[in-house]
Amino acid sequence: MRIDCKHVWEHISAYIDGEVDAALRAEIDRHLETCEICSAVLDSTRNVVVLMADERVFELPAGFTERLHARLDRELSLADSS
Amino acid sequence: MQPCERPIYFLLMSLLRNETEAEDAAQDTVIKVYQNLKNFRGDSQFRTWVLSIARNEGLGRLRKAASRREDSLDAETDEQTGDYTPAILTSWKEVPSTALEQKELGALLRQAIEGLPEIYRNVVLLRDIEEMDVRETAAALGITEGAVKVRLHRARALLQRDLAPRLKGFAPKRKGLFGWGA
Repeated sequence: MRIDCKHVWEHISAYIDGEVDAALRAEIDRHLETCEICSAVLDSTRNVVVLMADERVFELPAGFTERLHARLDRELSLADSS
Repeated sequence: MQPCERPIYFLLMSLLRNETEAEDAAQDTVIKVYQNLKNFRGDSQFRTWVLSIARNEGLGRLRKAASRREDSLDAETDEQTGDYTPAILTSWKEVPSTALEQKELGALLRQAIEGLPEIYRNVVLLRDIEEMDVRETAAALGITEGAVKVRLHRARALLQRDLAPRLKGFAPKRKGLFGWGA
């Protein structure tokens, strides 16, 4: 089986997550060896995934935990007293 | 409870798209978790259970506010977007995570995620940002594992198409390696 660029794009996410079977992975790897465009698409997608996982991209608002626990303490003490 | 705070908040942010509302809903979620601890049967992961409470809290608020009709919450289907063409690059230079020290890059990434349709945003948030596995993500969102994979694939594809051309500006400018350093 020879796969084309469109096939590679369809499986890129599963490929990054290691969820394609061995035969398909081998086909994709073979395609990537000669296709500069798909290699760049794969690298850029993987790069986006890596950057997204960085905790600095999404941070909890300042004071979130303190406000949460203050509210929780209030609610729990109200429940205890009732 | 603390390890759940981030996913609770960001799932609610994804649903409600308002920081104050998301924080208030996160607080209500945590209170409900404590009130219902006796009902947690341990047949799912604690975080999955907590996130399903957060999701219900978020959806309840959306319904109450009538900002969106209930049926529209499920209106975006996996069939709505068909094939996609990625941003075509002939070379790609990795953007190092140290570039995140530049505030513009973080803002660019957040903006791209916020621009995703909700069904994709929720999945990418739990899978790629909170790094939950497929099974847990499916359980937290009340969808199948297959739907998680399809939505994640499309979300990443949309993000690649949106971000790849713009991220190039954050790549290290080493000349010659990939042909576009000049």
